[in-house]
Amino acid sequence: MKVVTYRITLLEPTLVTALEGDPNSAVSYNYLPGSVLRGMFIGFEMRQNHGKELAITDDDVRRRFFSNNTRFLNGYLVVNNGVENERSLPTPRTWDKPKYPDPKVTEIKITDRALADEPQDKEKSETQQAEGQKAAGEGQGKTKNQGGKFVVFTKPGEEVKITEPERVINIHTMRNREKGRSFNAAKSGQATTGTNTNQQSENNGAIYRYEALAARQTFEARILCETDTDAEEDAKYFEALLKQYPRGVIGGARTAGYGRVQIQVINEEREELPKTNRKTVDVLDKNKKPQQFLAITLLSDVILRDANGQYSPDAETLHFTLTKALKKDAQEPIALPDFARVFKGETTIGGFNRKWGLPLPQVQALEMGSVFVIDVTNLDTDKQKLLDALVSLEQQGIGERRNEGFGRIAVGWQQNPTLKEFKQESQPENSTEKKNIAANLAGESQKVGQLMDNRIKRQITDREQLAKANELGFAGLPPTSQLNRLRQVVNTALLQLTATPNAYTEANGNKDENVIEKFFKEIDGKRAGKLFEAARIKSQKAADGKFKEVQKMQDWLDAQMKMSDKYAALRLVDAMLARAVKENNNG
Amino acid sequence: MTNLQLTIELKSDTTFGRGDGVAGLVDEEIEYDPKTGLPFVKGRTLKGLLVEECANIFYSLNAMGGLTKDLENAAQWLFGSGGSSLGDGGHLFVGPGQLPEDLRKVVEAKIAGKVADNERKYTPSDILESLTTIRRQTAVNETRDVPEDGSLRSSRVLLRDITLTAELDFDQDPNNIQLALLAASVASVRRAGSGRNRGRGRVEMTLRGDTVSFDQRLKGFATLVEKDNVTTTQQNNGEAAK
Repeated sequence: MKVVTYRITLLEPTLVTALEGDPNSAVSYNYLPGSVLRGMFIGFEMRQNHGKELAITDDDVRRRFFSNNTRFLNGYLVVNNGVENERSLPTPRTWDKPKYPDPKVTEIKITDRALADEPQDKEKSETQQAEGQKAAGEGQGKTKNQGGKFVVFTKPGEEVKITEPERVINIHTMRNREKGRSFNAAKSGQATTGTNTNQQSENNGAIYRYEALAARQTFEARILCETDTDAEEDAKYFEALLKQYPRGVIGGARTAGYGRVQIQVINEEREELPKTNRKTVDVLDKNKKPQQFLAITLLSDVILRDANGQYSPDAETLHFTLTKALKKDAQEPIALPDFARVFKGETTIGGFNRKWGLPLPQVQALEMGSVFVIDVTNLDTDKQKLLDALVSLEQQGIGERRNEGFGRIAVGWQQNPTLKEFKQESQPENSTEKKNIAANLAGESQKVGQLMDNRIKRQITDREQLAKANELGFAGLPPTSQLNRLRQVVNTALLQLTATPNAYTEANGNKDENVIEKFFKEIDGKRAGKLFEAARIKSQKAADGKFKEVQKMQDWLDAQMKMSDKYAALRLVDAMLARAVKENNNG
Repeated sequence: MTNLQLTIELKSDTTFGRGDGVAGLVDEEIEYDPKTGLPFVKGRTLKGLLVEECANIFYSLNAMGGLTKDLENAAQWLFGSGGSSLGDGGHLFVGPGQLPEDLRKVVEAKIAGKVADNERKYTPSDILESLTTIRRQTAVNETRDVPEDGSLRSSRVLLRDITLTAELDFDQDPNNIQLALLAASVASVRRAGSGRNRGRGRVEMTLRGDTVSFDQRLKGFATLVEKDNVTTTQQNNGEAAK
């Protein structure tokens, strides 16, 4: 078998829609389904043939795209395992971790219920649980299931990193296709051409939401080419296709803002799981008697039919399917023991066929992450023989639509009843970056960066000056009308300062006279001047609430206007006056 | 494969609405990346603007009797039609309109905390507020000439003189007619976003990355239309003479 490994980086949010959400929304899977990736490759093939349809009678085409000999596995999130970036796998549904971990505890323990020892008897287990909860503190006995996420091993068999892809929610408005905006033909009395029906016209303006995979994430997928004679040729064909088309579009809403991806072939040949190191696990039963368990984990959704040909996502059907598969290739039939423990989830699989322009029939399936445990303690035949036979099924997969990534299983992959969760250490800060945004840029970007720096600086100044003004006290304030008169002068100066670099100095006749000083000169000797004479500002508030310094308002204003930063000075004065006005109104 | 860039220069403050607001702060929020605070305009919005202008151009051409099958086919090729089957999709893929990549990378680094000693870290909120501001409007009662009760609305605007760039990808190389129509649709876009009739959203769009200049593409479209118009006029005159 030949394996083609490639990575898909999302350049835009990607919408690979699952069957969930309300009619006015689309919710994405948290992985890239193999069916979508298969469709992408078919698209590349068609582009290569200038848009012509695939020649279904061609043997190569049939083998590559329409048979189970070529399997397009799901694209799962790439996660760093501490050494390198690795394709993650679905977490088993049997993994639990504390919901509210004790902050003093540095190690977070994950318990695998599939391989945990059986409780000895009910009474004892309840006592132990109660004691455990009492010791751990209230609420700390609760656990949270880790199913539905993705995992890599940072230390094989010991430590894991669990993560899930980031998602983004966007809200959209339904619009008329031709006009490019919402338009109700019935209401406006105009006819529309094209395919817009009355129903669509009525729904124009409806709000709907897309929950998509966020951009800038990388997923890794595989193509398994199984045919004995043509596997190498097929693998080379897919690699060549990916090199010819390093960019593609997948999922829904692809022509406008969703689905653009960058694809990179990984040259090393990688298997889905390591071939070695699969084994049974020793587990104690309720009488402390040792048992040997073998866990079968579903690494993708599995579509199964029972003996009557009905879609049936249950343990019996899985057992039936595995037994049939084991009998098929074996010279001596190997009996598969019944499942001792079952942890399964069910899901509904759908899809869309763009050739037909119709949705695919929906079927029930076993959900990825489901775990089925076999008790091999009393197995007559060689346990290793059974393990090897089951491991060989990993390559083929089981069930239907295996060419689209369904039916992937792992046998004996879960081997530890407890694991540790990897804790990310905080990265040390890089102290070599230059200050400011604009300092690192050139051209148009620098212009925007400069704008950002100026505005951020201004906003910081505004907040700081407001905080300072809130610490001031007042006495003998003039009437509100006079305070607002001065405030008007200050605001005009602020507008000039922020408009253009020279507006402020030009407005003041290019003199080094500040506007406050000018104002007080104008009112000197007049009634307004006398009103301001009595005004006092108290500053330097102590812990007991008393102010250490009391100044005349004019003196305080003069001191502030001596600041080199004119903007900061005027902002402080403006904030002070606003507080003074409020004090007057309250007083 | 052809790859063009659509530049969107904001001539006035613009609101590319997100569809919701932030309670207590703003009624109409703009589209921005929550990780970095950098505003952008969705590809769907840009595509909608182009489709709308294409429809307007066709309406005018139709009125003059100059709308040809070639142009209709070009529109179908570029923008597709409703539906999800193979034949419905357009061949033009419009990416989001974003700030320059080098600026985005610098901002991401700043947000991630890569700053010098004693330097303040940036937050997405800082970045958003450095490129936008909040405008408030109210309706006025025409009879009493006072603000209508409960009509005060605030909306965030992206400041003018900022240029956004969107990638335009094609899965097949477009021909001259398709590119000419695209250029005409791009040049026709004058307003975008909310509050277009209230002074907001004045934009100027151009195409870059083409083998010929944008002006030449527009001239090509003008020639195309004139030629078709002359042909149609000649046909009409011929019919009238009969």
